[in-house]
Amino acid sequence: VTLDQAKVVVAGLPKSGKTTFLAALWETVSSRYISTSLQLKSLKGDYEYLNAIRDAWADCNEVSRTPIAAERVVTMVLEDPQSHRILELHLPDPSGESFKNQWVDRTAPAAYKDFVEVASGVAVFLHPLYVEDGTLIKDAQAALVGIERPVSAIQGSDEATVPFDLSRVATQVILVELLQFIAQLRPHDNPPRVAVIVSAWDLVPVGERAAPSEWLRKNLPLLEQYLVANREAAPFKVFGVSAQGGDLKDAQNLRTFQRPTDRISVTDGQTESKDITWPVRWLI
Amino acid sequence: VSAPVNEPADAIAVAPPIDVGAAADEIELLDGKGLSPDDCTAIARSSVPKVLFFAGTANSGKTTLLSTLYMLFQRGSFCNYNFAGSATLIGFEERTHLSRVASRSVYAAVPRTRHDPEMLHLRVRPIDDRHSPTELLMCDLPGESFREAKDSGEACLRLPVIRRADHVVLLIDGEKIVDSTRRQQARNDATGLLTSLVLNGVLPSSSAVDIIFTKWDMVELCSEAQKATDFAAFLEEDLRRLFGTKVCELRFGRVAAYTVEAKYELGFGLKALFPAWAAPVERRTRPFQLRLRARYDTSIDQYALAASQTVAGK
Repeated sequence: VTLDQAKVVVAGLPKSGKTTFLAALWETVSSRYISTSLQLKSLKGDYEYLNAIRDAWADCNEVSRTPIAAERVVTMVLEDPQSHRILELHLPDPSGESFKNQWVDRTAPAAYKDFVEVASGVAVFLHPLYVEDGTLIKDAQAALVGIERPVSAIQGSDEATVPFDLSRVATQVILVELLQFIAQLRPHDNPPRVAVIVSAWDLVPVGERAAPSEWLRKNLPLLEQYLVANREAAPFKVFGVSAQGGDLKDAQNLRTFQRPTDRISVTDGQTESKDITWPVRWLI
Repeated sequence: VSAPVNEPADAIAVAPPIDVGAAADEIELLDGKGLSPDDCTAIARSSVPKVLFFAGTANSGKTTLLSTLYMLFQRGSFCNYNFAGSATLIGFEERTHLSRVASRSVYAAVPRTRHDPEMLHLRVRPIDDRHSPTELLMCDLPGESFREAKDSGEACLRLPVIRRADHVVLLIDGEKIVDSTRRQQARNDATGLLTSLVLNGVLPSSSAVDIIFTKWDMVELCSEAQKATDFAAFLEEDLRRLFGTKVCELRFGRVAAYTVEAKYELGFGLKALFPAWAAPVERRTRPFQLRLRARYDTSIDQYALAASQTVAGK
């Protein structure tokens, strides 16, 4: 008997929700509360780590960020209950710092290249509250028209001019570059499909929550254009994912859910689901 | 790819994790900086990429114009084109830094063009997807090279990339138009360079020439705005008279690419110019060797080679 292999690249800057997603995914596949979700058949690897982050997530405690030294790939044998397809999913839990280092240092581990070369898809994570937008002085000045505030307050002074710092570039530019790196590392100009996961979707203002793709277009237009312009080679889909279910400041309320998976919400703007395996199913 | 299943359906197997960060060897990624036209390695044909050659005196606004194009795409699609990628994101970011609040700069500014010309790359694609992406390579000629090319035929012949240019974009500094003591200098700079290009046979017969009055906000908002705009109109007429029949296409534009004046939107004037720059080249004129540094083998080179093969196969 053989089974399919599926590797999904998980990419994103620090604090973009990658580990929280993985914790909620582990709970979903192993608890089997959601009949349509991917279900755990067996697991390869040390799942102590998965259990640890799942426990923190389930009790609404802060899920610790992944340091570079603790990066790993978890392997799960999963079954799709609808097609009965069984597959071995390889999913890394990378540190956001390692992606920031790719952007700054312009290098990547050879093992990352090996993984990217055969990946079925890429999950790109971003957190709506941690988007650096690279505001222009022109826009800042326009925004302050009519407000009594010295221009120097937004512009600083000559002495205070800050030299160019790669690590402070707009989030959308870095994410485009990470996707370009992935395309560069793939053989035969064959970029994989992309799921953009806007994490902490519940923190997006209600008025902007209609469709994740529209939110992306408004808030990270360079990334959205890049995805649209390359969609023939690399189809993409934008998901709004609330893996935690709410702000941890409201943890007491969140803990009232008996089934932690009931806190999860995943949307593409048309359909809403509690199945956090949906983006993974779309990628593989 | 398939692998054998050894476990019973409900078993949980344990194996060591794969440490993606443990590999000793690292691979180099695209460096993202401006491209030098002098040390390139692969062959591109005339339809791919499309080359824009920006020339103007020091401080005429070349870098501002190029960085503003990039900033416009950071806000959304522009002129019905989507941003589709760039091999020089860092090159653009370096040039836009002083325009951003994060720089804490007092005035929005751009760094001066370096002594060695660099090329910036943008890949754009029409929103309607009816055409393949256009690869734009934009050469930012330093003011010093401009002056030399205007004054010396030898220097003119040494201009990088210009023989391959699909568009030569000549910038006339609006700040000089405003100043009655420097207006004629602005006229002579423009006519001098074009004369040198045409008479030295450097300008490709298929190249369109765009002449742009930059810093147009300064022209319109100065105390003698009428005189300044009249002079710009006169200069336009004069350049048409001199070169209208000498180049394959001559266009004029008035641009205030980046100004804190609220009256002028970001990239004011560029909407009239950009579609022609981004439009696919329809006719091939001559093969051109564009040598790219080895580290770009995976981006522009591959694209250019693939495109060449596609064209050759037609």
